[in-house]
Amino acid sequence: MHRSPIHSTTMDQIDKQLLKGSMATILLSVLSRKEMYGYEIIKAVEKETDGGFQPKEGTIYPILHELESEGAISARWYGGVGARERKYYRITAAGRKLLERKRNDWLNFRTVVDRFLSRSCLKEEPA
Amino acid sequence: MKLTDYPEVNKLLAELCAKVRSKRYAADVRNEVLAHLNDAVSERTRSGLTERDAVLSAVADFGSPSDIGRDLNRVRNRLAELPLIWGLLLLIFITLNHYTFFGGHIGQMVEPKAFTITFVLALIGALLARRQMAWRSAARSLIVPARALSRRERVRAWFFFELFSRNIEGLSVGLGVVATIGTAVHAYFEPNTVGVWVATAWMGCFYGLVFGVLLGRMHAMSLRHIRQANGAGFLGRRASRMLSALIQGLAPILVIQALIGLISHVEVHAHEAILQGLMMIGYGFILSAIFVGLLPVESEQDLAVSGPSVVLSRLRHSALLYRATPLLAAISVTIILLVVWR
Repeated sequence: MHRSPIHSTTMDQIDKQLLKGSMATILLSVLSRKEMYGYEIIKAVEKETDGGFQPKEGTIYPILHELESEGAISARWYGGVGARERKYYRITAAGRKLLERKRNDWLNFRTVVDRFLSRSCLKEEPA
Repeated sequence: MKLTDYPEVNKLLAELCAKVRSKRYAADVRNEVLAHLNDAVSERTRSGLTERDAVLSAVADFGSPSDIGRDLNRVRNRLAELPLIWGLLLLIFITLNHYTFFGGHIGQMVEPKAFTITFVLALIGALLARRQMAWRSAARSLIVPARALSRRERVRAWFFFELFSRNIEGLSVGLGVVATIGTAVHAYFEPNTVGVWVATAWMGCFYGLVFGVLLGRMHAMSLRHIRQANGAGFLGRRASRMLSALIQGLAPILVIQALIGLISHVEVHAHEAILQGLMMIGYGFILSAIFVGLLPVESEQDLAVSGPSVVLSRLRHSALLYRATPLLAAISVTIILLVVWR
């Protein structure tokens, strides 16, 4: 099927916007399980989304730092015996509440979009 | 071979850190990115790549360093990291303001001991402001349009109604108010000179209420009465929160100070007292405007601030107030410096 350059660009942008909008929720969700460092978080995201989410690795840091400045996560430098020092992130109580709220927002949004799309599909089906 | 021996890694780090204005933050970011690249390279070498290829792959997969650096800089900028300086500047400003209006010659009025106490308290205030790093976001925005608040919320936004809230904030504000009233009453019955009278009232006002309210406001934020400012702007979220706390603490203080000045002088020189009172009220608003002017603005709605600054929020459509802020600040500082140096 022919895809115009405009169509293709728009789709890429939507994907990026979707990714950007959802990334904080995904990071909070991953961190709600255990304390992790940056690279570990990226690998966890890739694994849990079966490679569906593969952002450029560095792009998670501004989001992590923003969540940290909001108090949703806290960070500390830690290096075990003989291990490299890494910055570990941990979700806070405020972060858990934020995650809960984001989760509910997402579920509500998904329900509305699903409903809308299913009605659109029904209309398109031949009688 | 160390990672920093690779020019590609150095280039990435340099490009990224160049976008981060705060050196201290840039150093932290650099260490974190280096740790990330170390992990990425280790994993790639384990999967069979040569170290050089692993480094190139890790750098390529990291993303655009300048974009990431710019995003990181938005999260935290240099000015936002200087609450100590902000706190000190603010308190020096208030102290000079006080002595300028209520005193004659600065050298006459300012005793080293009084300044030492002020600076120690300034330091404590500024250190407390560092606590903003641990502040938590909550359910309501700090910067909200006044119309978005219910009537009850608007009332509650005024600090003195916190007296009725049964928490530490209410307690600290309550103590501050009691201290102020106590010293004001004491000052009223003190058969002494007007200077001592005003100074006593001022001390009560300053030490009792400023710190009471300020601590209360900070605590309120940690209690999530108020959410962070929406959007990182000129000062960033954390500094905005600190300044908003200061605004909310200072605006009523200055009005009370003006009233005390008015009462204390009325028997002696009524016209001077009225003038001073008006000047102090004006100063209160100018000071508030200065700090409102420093708040980040991403939309027109951001001009509205909760708390005593609701008054200012009513004027949010008045771009003049907003645009005149730097001018007002410059005029205020110039007046103070001229009086001090005269």
